[in-house]
Amino acid sequence: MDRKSIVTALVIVTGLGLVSYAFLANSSPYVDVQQAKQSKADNLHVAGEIVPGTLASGAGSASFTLKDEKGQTMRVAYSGSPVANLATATKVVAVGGMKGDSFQSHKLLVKCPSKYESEPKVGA
Amino acid sequence: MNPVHAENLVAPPAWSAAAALAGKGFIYLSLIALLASAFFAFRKSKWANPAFVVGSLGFFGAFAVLATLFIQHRFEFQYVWKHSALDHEIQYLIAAVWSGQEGSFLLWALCTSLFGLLALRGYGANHRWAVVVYSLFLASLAAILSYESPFAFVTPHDGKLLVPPDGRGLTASLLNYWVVIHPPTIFLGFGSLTILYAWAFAALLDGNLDDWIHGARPWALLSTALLGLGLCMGGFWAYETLGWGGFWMWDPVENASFVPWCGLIAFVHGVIVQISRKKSHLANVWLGALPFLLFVYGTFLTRSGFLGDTSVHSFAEMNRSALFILVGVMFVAFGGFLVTYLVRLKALKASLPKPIPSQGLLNKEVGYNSGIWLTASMGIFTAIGMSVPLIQSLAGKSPKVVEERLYHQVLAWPFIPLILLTAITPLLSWKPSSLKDAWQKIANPLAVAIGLTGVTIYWIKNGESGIAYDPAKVVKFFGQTGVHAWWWVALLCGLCYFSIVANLWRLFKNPPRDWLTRGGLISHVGLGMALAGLIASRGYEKKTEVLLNSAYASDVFKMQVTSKGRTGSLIDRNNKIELEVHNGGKHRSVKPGLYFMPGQDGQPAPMMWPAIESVGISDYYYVVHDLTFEATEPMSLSAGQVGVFKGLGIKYEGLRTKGEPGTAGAEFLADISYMAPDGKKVVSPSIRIEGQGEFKRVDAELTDQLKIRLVAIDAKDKSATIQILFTNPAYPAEVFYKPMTRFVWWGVGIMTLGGLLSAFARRRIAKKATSTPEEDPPAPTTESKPDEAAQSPQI
Repeated sequence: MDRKSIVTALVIVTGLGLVSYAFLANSSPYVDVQQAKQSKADNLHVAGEIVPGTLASGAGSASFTLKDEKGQTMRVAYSGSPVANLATATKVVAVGGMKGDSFQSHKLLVKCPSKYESEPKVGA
Repeated sequence: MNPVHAENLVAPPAWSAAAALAGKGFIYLSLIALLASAFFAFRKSKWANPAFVVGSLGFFGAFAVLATLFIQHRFEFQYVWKHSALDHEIQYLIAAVWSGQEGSFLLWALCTSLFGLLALRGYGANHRWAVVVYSLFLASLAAILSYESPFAFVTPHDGKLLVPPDGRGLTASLLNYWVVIHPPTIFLGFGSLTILYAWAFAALLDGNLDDWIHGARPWALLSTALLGLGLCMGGFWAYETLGWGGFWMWDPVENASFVPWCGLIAFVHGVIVQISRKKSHLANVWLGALPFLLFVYGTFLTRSGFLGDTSVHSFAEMNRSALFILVGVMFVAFGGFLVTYLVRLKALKASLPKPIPSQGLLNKEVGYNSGIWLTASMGIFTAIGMSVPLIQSLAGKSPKVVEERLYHQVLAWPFIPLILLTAITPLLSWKPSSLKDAWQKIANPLAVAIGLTGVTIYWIKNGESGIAYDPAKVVKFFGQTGVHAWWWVALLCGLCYFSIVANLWRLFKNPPRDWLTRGGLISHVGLGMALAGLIASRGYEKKTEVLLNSAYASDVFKMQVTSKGRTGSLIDRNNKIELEVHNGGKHRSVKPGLYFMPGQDGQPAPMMWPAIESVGISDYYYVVHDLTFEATEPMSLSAGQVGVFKGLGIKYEGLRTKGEPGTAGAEFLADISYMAPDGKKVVSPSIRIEGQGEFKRVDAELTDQLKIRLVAIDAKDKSATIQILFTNPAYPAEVFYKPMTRFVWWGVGIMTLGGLLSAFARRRIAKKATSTPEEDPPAPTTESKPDEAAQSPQI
């Protein structure tokens, strides 16, 4: 191994390490309802179902009860752009953090019934 | 679906059984023929090519059978039932073929075999190993398809089938022309990657890293153009249908195609360095293989279930055996390549030609090499970001996801020097320049770009778009120092302008002789334009939320918008809400879509289609939501108090009672006075007791467009809660102003055109090269030597 290769390898490894660290350290965690209630972060992702009958939506806001996989529930208050197709969603991911008793969400990711599972590219 | 009654069960019709057999038969035929092809190629038998052709055509056969099943509505096939319906038009029936997991694997196999056939006779000295590698990969796709089969019947009961009368249909948001054209385009791009991989692998095995690059180059350029176009089409699809007003959101599915594209761009530039400077042979063999390897990895990531909840796409669980094969392909393709490379490294190094030395720092070679590193970094960084859920999962930790913002923060680092290089490198020559020379070359384009940036800032602040930026928005660096976002956006746009102007400058001031180089420069222009459009349309976006109705015009930016009602029934997929837009005496009609589908527990669920209105180079983007009749929130007024709505003063005069309170027929009336156009008026909305605990609200008409409702009364203080309602439904709407969005469309068109020009120009050169070995071009005498600077689409 000549010096040039060693330096190149070092630069690559350091670069990859730094970038991986940047991504891992700053990415947003997926948590369940219980963890969300104990956390103070505001970039939490909580996945679950909308409990049928609890969805109340208006222009630019929506609120519903979210039930996670373990069956724990919490109230989610969403404000932001109205979300298309919320009522047909089988599953939602609420992004935000706890504020008082309810989860304040600024972003909702909606999964629609998966008639379309795998073909690339149908964004949010 | 019908309940399972014995009389509804039928034996699979003979026709269907035959079709299923044919479909599966074609897949097995492919599998066997391709394995044979690999074997024959290995033995250098003349049967390799015919077997390859048969194996490839098997996929075409399977595809034709599946398409026929869709067109014939054979819902006894699970896959057909899941992905189409009787009411779908023919183009959606065809598109339904690739709308599911099984079908998209078939499309991948189809596109890969198409390119395999096209390239089959062109591998030259590398034919043997290229066909072995290509056939083995296609055979593994056939093996995946034999498990992940689209030719399975719906679940049988005692050997009989319950044939559904109709299919479940494509998801509503897919039913538009993009589902017809986007997947084939992007899969053609993916399919063509296999040529580069197989050829790079063959070059390694044959121990000659010089010859393959000439033949592979046109394919690499074609791949870059197709995959780039496919990627952008995906963005257009999102923009036109999804209603959030953006093109790209760094979703894993998007990243899975962006990452190989970065690899391709690095490769096409690496090829230039290799051919012109006799360098980069070892790097290029990797750059040729990486796009394919990264795409296989991306496919694994998006299909394996590791992403789980962390993607907005729903992914079906893949058949475990098929997934096992995919993982096997991934490891063998990467591991086999790596091991071969390491084993051959010493011999390969010894066989490399003597490089043409480079001098100084300001020359094309340094520009290319830095650009290749930066482009590859963009791809690798994105790949790391999209792997975060997998890394977390392998480490046994709870999943995490990288948000859009974080991608921007990380990728800005390679992006800024890279876009500068796309401007500067085409102006440099292979000979070193002095700082002064280089400055003379870039000064003029730079000045023009700065001027254009100034014009943009002036236009954003003062033009029709005096609305289009938020002066308070701040971009923070290292979480500390902030600059105003609009300055940052202007800087990024300015860099793109610099790239556009510099490449145009080179194209016209110092025109290259060949279409290869011209195509490359044109691609750069298109790329700069598309990026400027993306950056400005997002960075200077302005959004407003407004209630649109027929009672009064709502102010949207500098326009007045009134709703004129809907064009069809609310359950009609083509229903539009007609909006009338007034702008400085001009009228326009805009028609966003809104309709309802049966949702969960029978609740109607609104579906929206944005309407996009282009004015000059900018877009207005309208999305209307679930309709409402409420013009105001309920407001509580005590007697004599005045509420104001849209300049209409509403005075609550007091409460009257008719009949005996507490008994049926009793009525509470709120007297409301207000100024109608024809003088003062009094109306009395009421609440009428109907019987035991039941009551009815009787609304009163305020104007022909507005009603007033008595929501509640307080018996103690005689106050009333009233609410103003629309007579016709009103639509909550979001309207985006997105400046310079048209640049994205034009830019993508120009970029693709440039890529195709280079690719096809390259094909002619490659053909010539096979007849007469390509000589090193004569030493540069002037700057405009037959420059190998085929600037291909570079990010």
